[in-house]
Amino acid sequence: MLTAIAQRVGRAILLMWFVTVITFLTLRLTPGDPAELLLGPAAADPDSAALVQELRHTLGLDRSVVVQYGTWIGRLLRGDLGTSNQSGTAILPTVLAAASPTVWLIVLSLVVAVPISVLLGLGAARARSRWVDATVRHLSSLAMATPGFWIGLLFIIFFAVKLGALPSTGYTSPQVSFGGFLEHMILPVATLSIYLIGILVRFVHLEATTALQSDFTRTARAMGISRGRTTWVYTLRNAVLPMITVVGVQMGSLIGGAVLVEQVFGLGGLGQLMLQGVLNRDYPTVQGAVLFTTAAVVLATTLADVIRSVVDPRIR
Amino acid sequence: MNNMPALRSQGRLRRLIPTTPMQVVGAALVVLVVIAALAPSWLAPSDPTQLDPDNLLSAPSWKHLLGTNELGQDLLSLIIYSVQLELIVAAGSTLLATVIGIATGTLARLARRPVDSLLSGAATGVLSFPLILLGVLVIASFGASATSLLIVLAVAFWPQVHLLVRDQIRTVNDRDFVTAARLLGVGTGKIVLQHLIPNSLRPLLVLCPQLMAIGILTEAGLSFLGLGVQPPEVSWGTLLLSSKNYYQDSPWYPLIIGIVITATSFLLMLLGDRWARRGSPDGRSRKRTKPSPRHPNPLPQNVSGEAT
Repeated sequence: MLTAIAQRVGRAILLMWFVTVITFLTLRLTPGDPAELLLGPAAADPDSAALVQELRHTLGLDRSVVVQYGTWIGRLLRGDLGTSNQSGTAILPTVLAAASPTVWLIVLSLVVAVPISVLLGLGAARARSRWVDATVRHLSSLAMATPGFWIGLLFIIFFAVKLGALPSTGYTSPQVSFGGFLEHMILPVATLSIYLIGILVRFVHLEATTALQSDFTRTARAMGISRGRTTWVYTLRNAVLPMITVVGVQMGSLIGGAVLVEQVFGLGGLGQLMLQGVLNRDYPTVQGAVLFTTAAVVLATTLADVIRSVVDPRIR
Repeated sequence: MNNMPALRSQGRLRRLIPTTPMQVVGAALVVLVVIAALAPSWLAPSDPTQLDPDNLLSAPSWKHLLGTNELGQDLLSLIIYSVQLELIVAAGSTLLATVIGIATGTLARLARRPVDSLLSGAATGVLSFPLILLGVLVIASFGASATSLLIVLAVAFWPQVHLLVRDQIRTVNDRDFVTAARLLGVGTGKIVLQHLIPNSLRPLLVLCPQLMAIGILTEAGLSFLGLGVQPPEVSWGTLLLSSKNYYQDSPWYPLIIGIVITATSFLLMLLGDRWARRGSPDGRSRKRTKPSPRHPNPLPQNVSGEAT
């Protein structure tokens, strides 16, 4: 058990290292000199060549990629993500601030989507009807086939523009005003939840159908345990446990979905930060944001695996 | 049904002829898409480059069945003319990933330990990297274009094909007919090409339509972020992006484009679903236990839900 966890953590660290290298290399391959971008049109002036050179030196861009990487990772190990090329502010607080809407969006969507999916999936499996099975399958495909940012746009058109009931864009931090936070989060969370329910419901349905047909359910029923109890206790457990892994695995696509949803609703989260960083050739910011995101994904999958093996003795 | 001896001997081509209503509809759609991709002018009501300045952002009407965009171009024609690009990006990336995935998946199984763990490690690495992040990074370095999009998608799809083929090859490799072939002295190359690979491909029928659906959705998503297809070129994603600016006065504009994207990827997912259920033992149609002509054993069809 401990070796398994250690192995898992080791692999996670290796993966993150791999990601830092890839991110670093792709960014350096990117055409466009951050120093010139920073100076703007003035950089084209031949007189300012020395200025560009000097700026490149202060940003450390005149050294070889290997040295740049070494410096960056050395600082990283000391907990320093560096400062932005553009604004000179420290990266870590920027990334953390940007992460707040993204993390809230994902967490709230999970809170909404997981219970709904479990109820729908179990209910549908319990019905044991071909028609219900097909409906669940098709609706979940439909939810996965619908672009989230488009649903978001439709929500804005209907709830914000037509009804004027909710704000269309923007973000309020829960510390500032909890009511405002909820108001701004309802539509984005609903949007992301639809996609998430699409993935999860099909899964719960499949697991629950298998569990309902299994020997232990038949035995439980034969021993006189009520149908409700076998469904909501035995089947539920068997359907929900594997879901921990599914949520972990889906974390990557969930963040992808969140980035798009954020963009539609102007929440200004990690996605916005990365896009801006890439456009401005702000290498340290992009590196920081990518590292943070991958760390979150890796942490989620690793955690899901560990939790799963703790709560489900069959996995060990 | 189809597995009557007389029909079986007439070869596989006969099975391509649609029989059920569903199959007829599906086949008709495929023909339409192919025409739209190869000769869009046959289907499109007008030339999409033609501007109609009197009808900017007009709602759907008899003159413009799906309305016009902000330049007065006919939306239906624009959508039909974009099919080619969508197909190149979605089908091209899937094909590229499939070809490479089959090669690496087979190699991983044959070369065993170090190569296998390296490839699988790379595959899980790519899998845990959010697709959108990958897109942002690659597109930032190579520039936004349909080609970059195709490459990003191929890279993102490769691990799924690789892992699937690798598992499949392992199962097939353990089967008796492979052992028999080996005992008969058939060479490794021949076993791989004639037995292992052909018998490992069926699950890809399920995976590939799903990947194409993801391809279309990601094209739309990345173009929506301004990282996909670039403006003079038109794709469903860029149409959706420009429609975003007019949703206040012309809500039907984003509505129509979104429906086209959703319907297309939904149909692709249904196709994958159907193929999965055909293959799975608990599927509704049970006529698929037909022995493969190359060897007497019916193949196990353990494909169902795990493809996504």
